[in-house]
Amino acid sequence: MGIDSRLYTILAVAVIMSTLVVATIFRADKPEEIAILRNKKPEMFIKEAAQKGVESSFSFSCISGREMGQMELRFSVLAEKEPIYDPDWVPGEETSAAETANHIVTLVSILSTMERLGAEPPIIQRAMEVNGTEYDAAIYDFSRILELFCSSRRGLSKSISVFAVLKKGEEVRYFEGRTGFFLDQVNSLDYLTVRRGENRSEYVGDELEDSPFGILRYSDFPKDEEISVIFEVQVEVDAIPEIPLGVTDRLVLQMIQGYADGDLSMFVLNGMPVGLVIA
Amino acid sequence: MSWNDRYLVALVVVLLIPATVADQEKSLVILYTPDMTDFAGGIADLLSEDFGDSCNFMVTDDPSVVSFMLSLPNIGCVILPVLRGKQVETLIDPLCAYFEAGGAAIGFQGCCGQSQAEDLARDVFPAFGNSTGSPTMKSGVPVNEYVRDEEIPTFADLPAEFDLLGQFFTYSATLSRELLEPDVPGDRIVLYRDRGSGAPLVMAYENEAGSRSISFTGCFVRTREDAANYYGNLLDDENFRAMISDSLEWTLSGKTRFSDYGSIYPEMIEGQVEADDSLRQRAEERMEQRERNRLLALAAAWIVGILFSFALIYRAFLGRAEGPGEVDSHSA
Repeated sequence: MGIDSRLYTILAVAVIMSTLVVATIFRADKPEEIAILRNKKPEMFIKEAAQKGVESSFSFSCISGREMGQMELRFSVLAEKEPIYDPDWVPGEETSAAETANHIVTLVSILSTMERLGAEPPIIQRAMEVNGTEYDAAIYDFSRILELFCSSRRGLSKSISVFAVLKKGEEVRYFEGRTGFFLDQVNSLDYLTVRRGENRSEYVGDELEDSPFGILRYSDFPKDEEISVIFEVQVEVDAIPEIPLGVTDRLVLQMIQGYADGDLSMFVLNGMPVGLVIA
Repeated sequence: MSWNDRYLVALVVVLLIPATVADQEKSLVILYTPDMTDFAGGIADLLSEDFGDSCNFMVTDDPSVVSFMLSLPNIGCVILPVLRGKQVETLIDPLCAYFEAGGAAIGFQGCCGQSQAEDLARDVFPAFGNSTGSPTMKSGVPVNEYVRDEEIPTFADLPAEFDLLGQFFTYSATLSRELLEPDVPGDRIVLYRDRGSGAPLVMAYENEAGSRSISFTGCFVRTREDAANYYGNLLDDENFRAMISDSLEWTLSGKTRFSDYGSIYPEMIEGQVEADDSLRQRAEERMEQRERNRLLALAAAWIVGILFSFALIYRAFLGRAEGPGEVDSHSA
């Protein structure tokens, strides 16, 4: 019995269509390992913001795109400083941020010391938009290695461990900072809320001594689990000497890193101009 | 070349020398002062005579470098030849955390006054200074008269009484300037007192964690060579040399970062790298396994789908094509 050639055509179309459907499913975009759901920060950093009626709350949340053996979020805050370069060296317009970092005296000392200890310099180089401006950025975060030698994350949050150089043309911005939700976290936070899935932890007043100091690390983290962090900053006028009063042309940076199984897969750099305390 | 330039160059040279096994066996002693690097360099010079085999020395005027270094595993001691508390303003928290967790420190007058050094003058160098004492003038030179109080064997080479260059000293007192002896957790031992006021001039302190500090509440010197209290004259004094050397020996005998991590930090750094690699490898294996499973599931779904299509087509067309033939034969 012969089969109609039109039937062959229909069979071939069925095979092709189902192959295309399967191929489409197979090639579907994988979700981000850590996807940002919310990233809110104050427009400006001002000491005694609440008294001046200025918003000073930070809110961040993200979701896991896959199951992870270890999920880690690291929060750091960096204050801007005037960079001091090697004698007789000035950055050119085309000099990269990483090259500029190699001529900042503080970083030269630190990079050499870490090299002598046998630790790789943990540099992140990328173009970043900070406070509306696109910069070439070089960021050194030594906190993961220094954490090994600190008995507590609270102790780690007291010492400088993070550096950033932002460069655009001849403009160079240099930052030094520490891990933690904010500088001098215990004294500068009004409250802190950390939520993982349905588990919510709140810290107010003295409880902040026992709060996580900017490092959230979870084992066996499932897919589609959400983490959110909310806190409000209230800094006294004479607190945090790294951010001096009366200086308005500087930025404070909030840096948030997400590590999926030891690999950096999410990076946020929030810039806030330092505002004046209005009498 | 000035002392400043000399020590900046020395610092860079020391830091750029490749690490050797011998270096890893030495602890690092940091000397920090923002404006008296010559004085700090002189102290480093004289200490390296006694401790050169076991310690490397680093002089810096950069508080950021000090803040960072305090977390390193090879730190033996931090020496702060600082005369104004404002100069350690950004280091109060890092130094307190360092000392609380186990670290050695030697501080001069600027670290001992509560009004500016705050917690540093209470928790690390517990002088609780809120009053200032005056020197005794001897042959036109301001000196403090040191009289031994309690004894520690390490300081036995020092005489029971001696004079040492210094303009002012700071101490804890009531509003009516009566001497106060603050109560602190741990052991606070006054080694030498001022002859006239009885105020502590050299204090040894060991906190509950085993960290040790020495506080010099006097030794107020100046950088000008024509000043009566020029620091160079202090550095030349045998009693000062013995005192600073004994101080380093005593503080290094307590709990330090180097005593905790000095012998194991290379393995710890290596271990961290391996732990990260292991995490990545496990993640890759998990993802590969998931990809394989997904591929198999899709292949199975594809085959089932094609078979289903064939079955449908067969029933819809081939079955119908055979059907009318049978009807025809019956009707025939």
